[in-house]
Amino acid sequence: MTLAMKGKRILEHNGIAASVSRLPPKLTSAGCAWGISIDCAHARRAKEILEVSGFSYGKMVTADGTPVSFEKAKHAPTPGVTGTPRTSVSPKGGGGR
Amino acid sequence: MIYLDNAATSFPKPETVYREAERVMRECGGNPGRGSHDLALAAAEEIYRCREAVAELFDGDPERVVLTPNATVALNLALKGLLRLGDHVLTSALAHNSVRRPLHDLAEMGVAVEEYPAFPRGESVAAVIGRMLRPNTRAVEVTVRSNIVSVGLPLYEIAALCKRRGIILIVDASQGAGAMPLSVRNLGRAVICAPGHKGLYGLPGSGFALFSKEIDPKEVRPLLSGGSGLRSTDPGMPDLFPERLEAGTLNAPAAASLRAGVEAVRQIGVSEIEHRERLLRRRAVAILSGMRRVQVYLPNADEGSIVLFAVHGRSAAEVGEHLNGRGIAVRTGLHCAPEAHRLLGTPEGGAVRASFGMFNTEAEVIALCRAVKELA
Repeated sequence: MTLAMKGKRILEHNGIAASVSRLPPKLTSAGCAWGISIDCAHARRAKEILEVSGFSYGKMVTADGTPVSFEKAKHAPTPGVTGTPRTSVSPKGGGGR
Repeated sequence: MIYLDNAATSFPKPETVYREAERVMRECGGNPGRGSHDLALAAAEEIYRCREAVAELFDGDPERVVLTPNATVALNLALKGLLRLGDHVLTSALAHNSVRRPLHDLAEMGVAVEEYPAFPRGESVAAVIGRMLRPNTRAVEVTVRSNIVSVGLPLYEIAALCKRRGIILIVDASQGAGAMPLSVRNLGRAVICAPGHKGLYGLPGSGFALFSKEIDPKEVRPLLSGGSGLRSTDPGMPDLFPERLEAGTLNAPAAASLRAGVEAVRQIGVSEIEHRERLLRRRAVAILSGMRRVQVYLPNADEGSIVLFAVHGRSAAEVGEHLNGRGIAVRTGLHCAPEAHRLLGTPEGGAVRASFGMFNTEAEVIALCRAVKELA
C-alpha cells in the first residue's frame, strides 16, 4: 500500500490523476496487493515519469489484466480491444508478481 | 495549570493537532491498507501524509518511516530487529529504560552489551567508542539528548565513525526530535527512533522509526507479526518497508495528529523552538541556582529544555507535590533513567525535572521559581 501511495504521489505531482486500488486476484501471487490506477490515455507518460523518478514497479496492465502494449496505444482504439478506460500499475514488491 | 513536563509528553498541542485528529476520527474511519472502499483509502491517505511529513523533517523517504505507538516500540523494534546472538552493541549511561531494558533482554539472549562513557575526560566520545569497537560490533546506540539534563551526545561524530565501519547507528531522538535539527541522510546505516507526542506535538499513541536508505528491510527481524494488508498468503511478514514492521491496524487519527504537529513545528522552525526553550531553561537555571538550598544539576549544560534540581532537606516527591499544589506540573523521581541519575549523583529518590515546551513563557518560569523558593 505504501509503495502504491508513493507512486500515486509521483504521478499526481506530475499532473496525472491516480488512485490506489486493489489488484485483481489474477495479478497477485500471494493474496492482497495494491496498484495505482490511471487513465489509459496517460499510460505512456506515466511509465516515463515513474522510470525517471526511479520508482520500481512490477507491471502495467489494463483493468482486465492485459499487459499494456505501447505499440497498440499508438493507433486509434478499436471496439472490443481497448474498452476498459483504466490501467493499473503494480509497484514492485507489492505482490503483483 | 503551568505545565512543565514536556519531556514526558508535550502539552498543550497546537489547535491543528486536535482538529486533524478529530477530523480523521470522524471522516476517515476505515482501516488503512485493509480495504479498498473510500473510507479505508481516506485513512490510508492520512497515514501516507504522516509518513511524508516525518520524512521531510528528517530528510528521509516516506516509505522508510515505520509508524509506531511511541518511541519505546520504535526502539524495541530497532534494537531487537537488528541485533542477533553473538553481536556486540554499545550504549551509554544516558540511555533511557526504553533502550536499557530491550538491551537487557538481548543480553540474556547472547548479545554483548557494553557501555561507553557519556562524558569521558580528555578525549571525545567518538574516540572512546572507536577504541571499544570489536569485529562483531553491530550497532552503537546514541541518545541525542538526555531526558533528565540538557546534554547530548555528538551524533554526527559518532555517525562518521560508524559509517566508516559499516556499523548501524540506533538513534534515540526522544528528546531531540522537533527540538534540534536532525537528518537521517548522512548517518550511514541508521535508524532514528522518536515519539510523536513530545517535541513533535502529536498525540500520545504516535511515534516512528525512520530507517536510512542503507538498511535493507530484510535485515530487520519483525518485532510483531500479523496482518499487514499485503501478500496475505505469505506465511511471514512482507520483505519491504514499512509494512514489514507494521503488523496490525495503524492509528490513523494519531498519524494525522503527528503530521499536524510536524507542520506546526516546521512553521515556527526547529531552530526557533530550540532557541526559545533554551532561553526559558537558562532563566530557570539562573534563578534556581541563586537559591542556597537548591542544587541544579549540570547548570551549564545548554542542549535542551530541561532543568534538573533538588531541594536540600526535601525529597523530590515532596517538592513535586508542593508544586502540584501550586498548579505547576513537573516530574520527580528517576525518570526511567536510573543510570543517568547515578552518573549525576542525585539523591536516592531522584530529583525534580522541569522541562519546557514551545508554549511555555517566562512568567511560568518565574512562577516555578517562586514556588520552589517557598520550600528553599
